[in-house]
Amino acid sequence: MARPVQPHLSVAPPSTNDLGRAVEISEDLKRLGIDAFLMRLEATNAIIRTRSRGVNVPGFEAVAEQMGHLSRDLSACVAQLRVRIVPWIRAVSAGLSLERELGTLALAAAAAPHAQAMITAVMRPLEAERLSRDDAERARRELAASLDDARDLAATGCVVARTAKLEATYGGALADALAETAAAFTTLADAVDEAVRSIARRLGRTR
Amino acid sequence: MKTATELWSDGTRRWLVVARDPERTDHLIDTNEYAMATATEVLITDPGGFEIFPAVFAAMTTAVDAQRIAHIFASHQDPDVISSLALWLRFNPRITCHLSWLWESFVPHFGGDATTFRALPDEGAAIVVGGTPLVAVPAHYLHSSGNFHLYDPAARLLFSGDVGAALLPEGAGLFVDDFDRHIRHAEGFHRRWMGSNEARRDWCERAAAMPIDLLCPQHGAIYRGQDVGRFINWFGELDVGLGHLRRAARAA
Repeated sequence: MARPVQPHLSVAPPSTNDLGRAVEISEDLKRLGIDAFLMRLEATNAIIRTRSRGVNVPGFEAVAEQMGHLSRDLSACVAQLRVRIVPWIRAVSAGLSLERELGTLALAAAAAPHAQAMITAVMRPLEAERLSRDDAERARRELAASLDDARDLAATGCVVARTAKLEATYGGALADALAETAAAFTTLADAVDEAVRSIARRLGRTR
Repeated sequence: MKTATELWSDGTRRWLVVARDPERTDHLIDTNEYAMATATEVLITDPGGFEIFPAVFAAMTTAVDAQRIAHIFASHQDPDVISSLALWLRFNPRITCHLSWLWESFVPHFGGDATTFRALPDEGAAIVVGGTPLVAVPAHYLHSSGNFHLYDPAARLLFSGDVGAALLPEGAGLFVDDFDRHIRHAEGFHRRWMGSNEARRDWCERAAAMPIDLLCPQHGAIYRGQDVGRFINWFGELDVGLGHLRRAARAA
């Protein structure tokens, strides 16, 4: 039996787990996009409500506006992440295809000892390509780095949501309604924070 | 492992079949791969799927030099027919893959580039391999909408793709030895896989007009001698395709 060739790799070759992670991150990003939109909706709603009732709650209005800006920034950030995940998926797919081809050729070498030299010659450039292939890892690192903006926005969102809760108490006749809005901000900010943390975990990035 | 068996030779060129893999896993359909080898070039037909490449390559290279494989004939676009293309191209990047024009932009998903493919027109065409002329014979809708068989007039051999195929039990021989018993394993396959009675009639008229000693399907056993005519007659009367499916459903 021929020896299946398994040279030393500086970077682990991509696995189907990487593709699974990419799919999960893609789903997380979709949810983030929805949460950002809902945040914007809540912020717009809160501003309209206070203005239409003529209630003077400048603090809450400022917080709601801040939440609106934040949700727009978050949407832009998610859009960027969704673009940046594509090269990673592409690189992982290409790496998996190369691994599959190398694996099949190794099996052919084992099955055809008479053609060993020919198969080895065919495998050599593919193995060189595998060794030089770091585009999946590079794309993953770039994606992880661009997550930092999303983490900052998520952290800001949590702080703004806490402030909204406080400002709602000065809402006079609208205090209960504003408290509800503040609670919705908190729920969404927590969801965004958790989604960003989850993506960071899947990407193997902690800060 | 599969083994290569010589089917025909005139001293200067030969036809081989690579068939019967006892180690094949049950979830993959068994396939026959054929090779026509001249002194300078080799053509292989329906070289098979990615998964079975090691077995096909190992058997094929006991008989031919992989780097001399200059032509691949793909009867149609199915994965069990041609998904190993990229691997064969590793051994000779200049391989020409002959296939229906219909699949010219589909099969490249399995490998190859713009220079790899030669699109066959619907009416068929000659394919010259190491100076030997072969003929791509139309067999559209049997079962693929762009489907060809390959005829060697000198060897009187017709590679017939899925026509003549049979899903045989383990241990079946390479050649049909009892037509009546064999054809029971082919009936369901042909009734369902073959597109229409019109396509079937068209093929049977073509096949009956060609002198054929060996009818070589992609699955199952090879028909030779009198069994070739028996098969053409049997197929000529078989109700196939959507019409059959509807009639069978009404009768049930």
